[in-house]
Amino acid sequence: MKPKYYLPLAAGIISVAVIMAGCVKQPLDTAPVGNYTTQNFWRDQTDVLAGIAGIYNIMFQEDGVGHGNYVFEDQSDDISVDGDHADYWRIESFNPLASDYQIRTTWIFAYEQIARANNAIIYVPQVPVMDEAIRNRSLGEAYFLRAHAYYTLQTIYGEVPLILEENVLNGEYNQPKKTEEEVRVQIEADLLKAADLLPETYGGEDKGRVHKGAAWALLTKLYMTWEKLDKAQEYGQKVITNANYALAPEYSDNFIVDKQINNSEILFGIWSKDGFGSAVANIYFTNRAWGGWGFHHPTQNFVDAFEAGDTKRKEATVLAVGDSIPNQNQMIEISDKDAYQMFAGKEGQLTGRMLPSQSPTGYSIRKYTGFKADGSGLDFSIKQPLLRTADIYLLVAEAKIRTSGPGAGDAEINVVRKRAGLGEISGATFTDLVHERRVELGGENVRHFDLLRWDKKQLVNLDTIVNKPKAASPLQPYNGTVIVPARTFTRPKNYYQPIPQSIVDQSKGIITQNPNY
Amino acid sequence: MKKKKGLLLMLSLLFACAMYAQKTVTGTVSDSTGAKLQGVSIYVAGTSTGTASGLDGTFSLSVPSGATRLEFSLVGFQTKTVDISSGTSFDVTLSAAAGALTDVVVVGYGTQRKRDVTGTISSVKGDDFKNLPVSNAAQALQGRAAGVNIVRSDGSPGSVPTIRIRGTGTINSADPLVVIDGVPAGSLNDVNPNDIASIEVLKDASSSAIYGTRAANGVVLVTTKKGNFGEQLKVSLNGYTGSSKAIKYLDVLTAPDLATLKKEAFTNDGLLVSGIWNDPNYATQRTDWQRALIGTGKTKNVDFAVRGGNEKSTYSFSGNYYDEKGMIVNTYFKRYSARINSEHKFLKIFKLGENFLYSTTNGNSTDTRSTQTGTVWSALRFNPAIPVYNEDGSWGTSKADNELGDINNPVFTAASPDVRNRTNNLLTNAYLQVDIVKGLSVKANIGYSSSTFRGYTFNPAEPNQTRSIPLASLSQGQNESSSLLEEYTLTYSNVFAKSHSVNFTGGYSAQNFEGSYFNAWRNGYDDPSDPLRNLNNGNPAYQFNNGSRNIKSGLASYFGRLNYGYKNRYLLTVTMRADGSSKFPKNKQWGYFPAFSAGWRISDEDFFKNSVSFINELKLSGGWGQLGNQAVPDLQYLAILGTGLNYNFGNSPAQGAGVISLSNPAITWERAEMTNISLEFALLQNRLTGTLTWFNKNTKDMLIPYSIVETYGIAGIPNQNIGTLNNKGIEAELNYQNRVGEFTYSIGANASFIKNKVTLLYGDEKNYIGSAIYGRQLLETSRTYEGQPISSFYGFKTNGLYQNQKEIDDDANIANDGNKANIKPGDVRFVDQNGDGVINDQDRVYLGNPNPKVVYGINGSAGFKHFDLSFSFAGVSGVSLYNADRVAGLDATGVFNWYEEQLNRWHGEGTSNTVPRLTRRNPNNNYRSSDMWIEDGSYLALKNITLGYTFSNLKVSGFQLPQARIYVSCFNAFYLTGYNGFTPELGYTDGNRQRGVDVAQYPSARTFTVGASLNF
Repeated sequence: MKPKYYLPLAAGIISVAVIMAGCVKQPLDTAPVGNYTTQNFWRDQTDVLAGIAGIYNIMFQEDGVGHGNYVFEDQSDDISVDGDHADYWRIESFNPLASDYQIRTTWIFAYEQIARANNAIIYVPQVPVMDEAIRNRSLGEAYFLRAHAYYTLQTIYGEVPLILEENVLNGEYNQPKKTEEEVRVQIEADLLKAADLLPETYGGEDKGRVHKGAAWALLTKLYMTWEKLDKAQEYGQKVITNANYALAPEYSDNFIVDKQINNSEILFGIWSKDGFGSAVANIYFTNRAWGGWGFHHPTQNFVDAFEAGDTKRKEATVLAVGDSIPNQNQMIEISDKDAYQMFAGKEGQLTGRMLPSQSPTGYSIRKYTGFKADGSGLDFSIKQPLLRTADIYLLVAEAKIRTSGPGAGDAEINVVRKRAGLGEISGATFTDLVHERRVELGGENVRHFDLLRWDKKQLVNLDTIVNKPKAASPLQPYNGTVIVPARTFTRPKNYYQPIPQSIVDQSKGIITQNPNY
Repeated sequence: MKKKKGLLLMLSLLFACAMYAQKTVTGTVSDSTGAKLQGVSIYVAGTSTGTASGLDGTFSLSVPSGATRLEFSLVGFQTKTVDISSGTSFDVTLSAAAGALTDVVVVGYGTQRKRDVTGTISSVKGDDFKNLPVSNAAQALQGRAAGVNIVRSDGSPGSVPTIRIRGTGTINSADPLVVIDGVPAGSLNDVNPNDIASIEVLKDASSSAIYGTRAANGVVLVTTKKGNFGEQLKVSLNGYTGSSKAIKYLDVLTAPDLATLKKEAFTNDGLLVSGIWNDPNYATQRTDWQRALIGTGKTKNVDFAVRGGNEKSTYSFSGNYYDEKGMIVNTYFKRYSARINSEHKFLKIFKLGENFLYSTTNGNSTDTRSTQTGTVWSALRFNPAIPVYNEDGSWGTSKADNELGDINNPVFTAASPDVRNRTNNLLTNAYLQVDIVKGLSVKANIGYSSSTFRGYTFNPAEPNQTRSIPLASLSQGQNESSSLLEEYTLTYSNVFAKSHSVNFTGGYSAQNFEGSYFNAWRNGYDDPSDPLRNLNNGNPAYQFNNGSRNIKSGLASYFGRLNYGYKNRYLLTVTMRADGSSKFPKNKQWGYFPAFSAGWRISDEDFFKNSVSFINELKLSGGWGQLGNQAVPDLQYLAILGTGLNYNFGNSPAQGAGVISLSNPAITWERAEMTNISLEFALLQNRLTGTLTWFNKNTKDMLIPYSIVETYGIAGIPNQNIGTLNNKGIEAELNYQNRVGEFTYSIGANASFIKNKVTLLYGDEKNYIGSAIYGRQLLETSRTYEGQPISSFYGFKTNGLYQNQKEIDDDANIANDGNKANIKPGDVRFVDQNGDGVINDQDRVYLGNPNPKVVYGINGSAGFKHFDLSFSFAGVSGVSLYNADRVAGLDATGVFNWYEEQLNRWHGEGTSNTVPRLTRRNPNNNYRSSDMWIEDGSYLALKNITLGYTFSNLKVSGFQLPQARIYVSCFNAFYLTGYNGFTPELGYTDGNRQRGVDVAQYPSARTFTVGASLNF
């Protein structure tokens, strides 16, 4: 080839190259492949149902509703902390640090619940076409779950910021704390809307969704902490007089997987399903030898509170040394340190019963412990009840006693006692009511919040309760050892937990620390 | 097939040569300027027959029969091999060797004489690090280039160290761009280090600017070995094998001592001693868990290369097998790789070429980060009275008692999974260059890279461990990613009026990235034996599957670079680029980044030449420029909803979704702005060369999560362009090489002094970028905040231990502290910083800097007759480390084994001022983040020392054997350090947010290797 052909040839090849150019097509024009964004979600009913399920999903959070929030119950006299979470120890001893892990996680998961609910409240009304009944129900669920998160925040931290729809739309998250009154007004408003929008009950496939009864029940609890006893009675009556929310036939039905799904008494609970998402109270409350981690153990103080004949409730609530539980198939060798009580002289034998080495107090909470029938260990389908009708019966009774004096709550208390297989009482006093709530709701994260609101009204004196050491079983090998020595409750500091330090720092002075922290 | 025939032909030719009669070869040797070279050693390749050139550069040598090649070598010049089979007289030109300013260095889209470079580039030759027992070249780079810090975060087989050029430039990805043979993709793990001809590190804005879109953290240009035009075929074979052992084990308590101290912890708190500590079974020493877990590793490497060329074409073909078994049981990394490239000239003006690299790796690396399943962490904590195996052959377990901790037998954890993580990587490009007229050429380059990861993990059921595995599980997954690149460049170079040299390179490049993944698992296998480990055989009641396409992203750039030189003395480089990135919203996609640099070759000035004769080269250069960084997650300008936030209703699962990240519609480019001034020199006939550089790098508009109060929940926070980070410092490189008779030697030293500071963040000290909370003590070890270096250590200052009650009563630090009554002698005295007499989180302060102030290396080599010796030291100084593992090793509340140091705990006045009393309840929170855990992390390590011997002129039955070299070497021979953990090389544990925190990482190994190389 002669040199004069090179130039045209080069030109030809360059043109081919230029045509080829652009094999990387529109490199900057990328679509959000594989992702939903707020631009392409909330289109139809399917999206709405998913968006609502996404709010409930936060119930599974290990360090929030699913278990972490139960840690505050360790401040009561009913249960005691074990294990290696130093922040739990500090919380139990009324000395939490603002920087403690659990102090922050309870906060952020509650606000995440609020964030997801806020999105639903903003976008569900904008979905163009969907079943209106489901639209209403979905909005009701979102209002309820937002209220539930604020109720959690209010009872644990006291004054907290309110993040509502307009804050989300404007991206304004650095909001000052609102007074307890303002927060309660907001919770009340949400629950009233929820009660209006929600159905009274659900078909089998929707059990686990909140209904009117749940909204009324949470209103009852709100009014009690708000000291609005009349309102509490009004909404409590709506629950306890409605057959859809009747007590379960047996107390233990509330804590056995097979009896939980269609249980009218569980007004609101965490709907775990083995393999598909679950909360983890079962791991935290079940002892290690049986596959849990044994973080909280009931005290002798609590066990002593049961009346002599109160066996149904005691057995459903507390496991003691020597007890067994269906489908628990771990056979454990009895060691020297276990050879007490019924195991005395049985070293080296195998047992599936609870051994002394499984608890520092001699007891475990049983309510979250269940085993799968196929022998494959802990059942993660166990539901965690968060609101039970029995609680509402006793709140109505409390409101009546405190309004009209001893005996005024007998009817409600006796419904609960009767189901427990106990005799009726008459002329029940506030002290009787305190006792009844303690044993009926033991291990359900109720006792300490009751004590706090009563102490504020000087109905009980928390000093006399926390001054008593937490003790182990009087039997061998425990011999009544002190598990937690006498503690000091400081007012008003210990009415609430500290605001997480990270929040105070991030807010640059907008959100202030709680008193005395 | 054709290649094979060619190979056979060449081999027979080689043997045929043996029959030629002896002949005399003569000629002259000169340098590239034509100056005659004296003292060049000239040897018949592979023999000891040789001579040296005379004063006038001439030589004459009688070569034996069979000799086909002569090797010419001289200090300061590249060794050259000349084919003498076709004649008896040769004029040989030697080109200057690495290090001299006359050398040619690879720059973006081309090469440049080092003397003309106005930016700062460090160059390392492949020969300097060949045959080190490492899976990738980054490890081999350690200590070899000033301003380049190679940070190992993990000693596991196949782990890739982090490269930091001129400090950590951003809180986001601060990794440099790796360009392999012109394709900006891939990682250094893909390339056999023995295939690398040179690595150039572009450090300043001006030289990196040409790769601007991803060059803000520097560029590492890897050039692999290629054939040369007109070079006869060369075959090389190489193999080594090595054995690795832990450099160090930590001292932990034996079972009897542990039981004694555990009792003391209970008794100190007035608690009932847990029964297990009175059980003689748990006071019996059975297992040294560290030695049970960490044993001997083995490394094997074999590679070969065939390279050559004729007038029109060059070719190179190489292959590699690398097999590393880690010190920890069941950890391994294997790589098979092949590399082909060729280049062809045709029709005088066209040049066509390609590079093709394929590698497949397989590996398993045990978790050594977790404080639950981390194997090294568990080995330090697991009770020494528990046997590895019980008498019945089952795994020893901690299940018997809470006091033994909630962790599994670490040997079980490491050994039981069957893990095969395979990655296939393809990196290829093809280019066509057209030289249109003299000085003007255009080039098109199309590159494609893809990576396919296939994971396979089988865990057998194990009901008898504390964290039991009730069902056997198999999980499999696949992750694919690929990238397509196109580049069109035009180059024009010319010299006008003999003194104005101009070189212009301009072009367009675009690259896109996409990928996808899926994974699935099933639990429950009736027969867990290997042949039946298929997903299909798992129980469908326990299954999961998931998958998605990745977000597509893309980059596009227009760029131009002009080099101008006046009389070779005054040099100027101007670069301008416009870069677009799909990571940003439409109106924020484009950024414009200029860079300038200029140089003055003082040594070429007449006044200098005439007056300063001992200085051969002297150049002053300086530059300023801006580069963009967009290495942040995609789609941050949109709020993203995540699926999988599921719940259950009735008895059925329900799909759930929710916002998982908030949006920032204003997100745009982060900018790195760099200024530097350099002085380069060569003295004493180029024997001593050096560079001294001052630089100042400001990262502006740094993309960091905006400060938001956590009342929004847990969604991801998008980045905002708010921070400013500064790195400034000095780099120095010095090399000396010389020859005394037959003894040749060279020594080089480099150091960089860097100061890192976050100059702007959220406007106050309280708001910071946090980092992962570590361990059972929930330690906040590190935070990044204004006025301090990135990832500074943070916590309480301490002042010894309280020795008696009076010290507590009188201590002003806790005068008003509500916790005072609970504090006892033997507890830590924390320092009250704000003077309120209360110890709380407000008393936490800056505790130390994990970014070394000085990073340095010393390298040397020497040769005498057949022997060669080389060594390489690497060191850092002015650095703090956070010994977080020691916190776990002493934490008396923990239900684990402790460090032997616990024997020195406080147990009465004056017994200790450093190790607190044993307390289960720990009311003073002795183990919070404090300066008690901060240690000096300076070290000097002999990273490598190698001794080799070259056989030449070996004959078997009269046949000349190929040149052979055997060598022994030791990698990580020793560390000089005061640090108490396994290794002072700790690396990163949470991106750039946490560095230098000892979490019981996979320790570094000391490796001894022996190897041999053959060259035909």
